Amino acid sequence: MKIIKILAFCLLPSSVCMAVSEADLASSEAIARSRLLVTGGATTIEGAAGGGIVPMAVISGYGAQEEWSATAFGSYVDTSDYQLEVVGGSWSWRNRLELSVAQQKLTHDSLTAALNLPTDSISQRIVSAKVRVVGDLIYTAAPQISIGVQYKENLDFLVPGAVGAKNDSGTDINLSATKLFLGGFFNRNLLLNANLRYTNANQTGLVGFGGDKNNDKEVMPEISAGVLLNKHWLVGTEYRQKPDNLSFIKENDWQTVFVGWFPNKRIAVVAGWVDLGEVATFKDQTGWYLSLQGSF
Amino acid sequence: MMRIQLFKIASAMVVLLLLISCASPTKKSLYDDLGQYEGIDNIIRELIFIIAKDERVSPRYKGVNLQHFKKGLSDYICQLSGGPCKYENENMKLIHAGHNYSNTEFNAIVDDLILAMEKRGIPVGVQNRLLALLAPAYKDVVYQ
Repeated sequence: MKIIKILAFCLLPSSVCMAVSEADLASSEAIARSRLLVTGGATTIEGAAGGGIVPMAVISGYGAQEEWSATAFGSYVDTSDYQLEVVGGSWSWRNRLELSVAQQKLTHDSLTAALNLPTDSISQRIVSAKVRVVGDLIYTAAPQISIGVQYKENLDFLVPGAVGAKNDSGTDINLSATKLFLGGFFNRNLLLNANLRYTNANQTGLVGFGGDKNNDKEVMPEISAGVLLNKHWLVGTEYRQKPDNLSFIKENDWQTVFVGWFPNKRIAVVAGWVDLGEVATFKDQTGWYLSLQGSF
Repeated sequence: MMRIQLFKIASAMVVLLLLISCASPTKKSLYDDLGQYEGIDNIIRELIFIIAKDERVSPRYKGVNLQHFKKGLSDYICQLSGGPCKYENENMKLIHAGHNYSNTEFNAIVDDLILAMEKRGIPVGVQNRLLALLAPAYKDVVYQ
C-alpha cells in the first residue's frame, strides 16, 4: 500500500496553510500549466506578481497564451515595531491579463503605546489589474512590458488622517519591464526588472494618500534583480523608492534581499530580509519577510 | 542620500553586465559540454520519450517519422552548439510555417527539453547555454 505523506505549510499568525503531498513536491508537472517554473514570480505585498515589494511585468501563475491560471498567497513581514499580514489571490488569462486582490493588516503596537492611540492596526484593500503589453520574459529579445493599475482603499483612516494624509484611497499606476537572460550570470539565468510607479501613497497606502508636504502623484523608480541558481532557487534583491508626503512622519526607501524556493508549479516559498528605514517615527525598521504562494 | 544609493545600485548592475559580457569568450565549446553528437542524440531520444507522454504536444507527433525528427533536431543542436554538423533545413521559419504552433506548445517542448537534459545529467549551466541558443527560434516557430 502506498502511503502518501502530506506536508503542510503554515504561515502564522495569518493562518494561511497549504497542504501538498510528497508526490506533488516531486513532480514538476503538478499543475497542467505550461510556462516554465518561476516565470510567474512570487506575489508582492500588494497582490501583483513580482518579488516581495517590487512588481514585475510577469503575469501571475503559469498559464501560457492558450491557458488561464490562478494563485493564492499569504505574506508576513515583521520589523521590530510593526507587523504586516497580507492575504490575497489572483486570476490570470492567456498570459495577458492579471487580476488580483490583497488584504493588508498592519499592526502597530509600539506606535499605539507611544502616542496612546485608540487603535492598534490599519487595514487596506488593494484591487489590481495588469496587462502584458508586449514581449515575452524569455523568448523575445526585448523585455516583457506590462502596465498595471492598483486601486487601494485604506479601511482605518483615523491614524493616517491624524498624521496629515489627505485621502483614504488612491490609485497607483505601474509600468514594468522584466527580462530573463538565459545563462546571463556565469551561465545561471539572470532576472532583471524595473518598474516605474506613479503614486502618492504613503507607506503603500497604509498611511493614506497624499499629505501636507506633497499631495501630487510622483514617478517612483523600483528595481529588482535575481539569479536562478537552478530552476528551483531564486536569489534576489529589490529596491523601491518611496514618496515622502508627510511633514510629521518621514518615509524612507525600501529594500529587500530574498531567497525564493519553487519546488514545482504548485507552490512557492519566499523568505527575505527587509529594510524599511524609518516608518512613522520608528527608525531602522529592519526585519524578516515570509511569503507562501499556491498556483492553480 | 537615497538617490545616491540608487545610483550606486544602478552602477553595480552596469559593472555586473560588463563582467558578464567579458566572461563569455573563455567558454568551452557547448558541443563538447553536451557530450558531443552522442550526448545530444541521447538528450533528444529522452525528449521523444517525454513528449510521447505529454498530452499538450503528443498529438502533434502522430504520423511523424520520429527517426527523422530525432536526426533533424540533433543535427540542428549540434550545429547550433558549435559541432561539426550541417543542419539541412536551415530555415526554421520555413519548416514550421503553416503548423500554427502555439505558445503553450512551445513552452511545453522547452519544459520537456529541460526535463530530458536533467534526466541525462546535463549541468544547469550547460542547459542554460543551450536554451539561450534555442530561445530566439521562438519567433520563427510560434503562430506561423
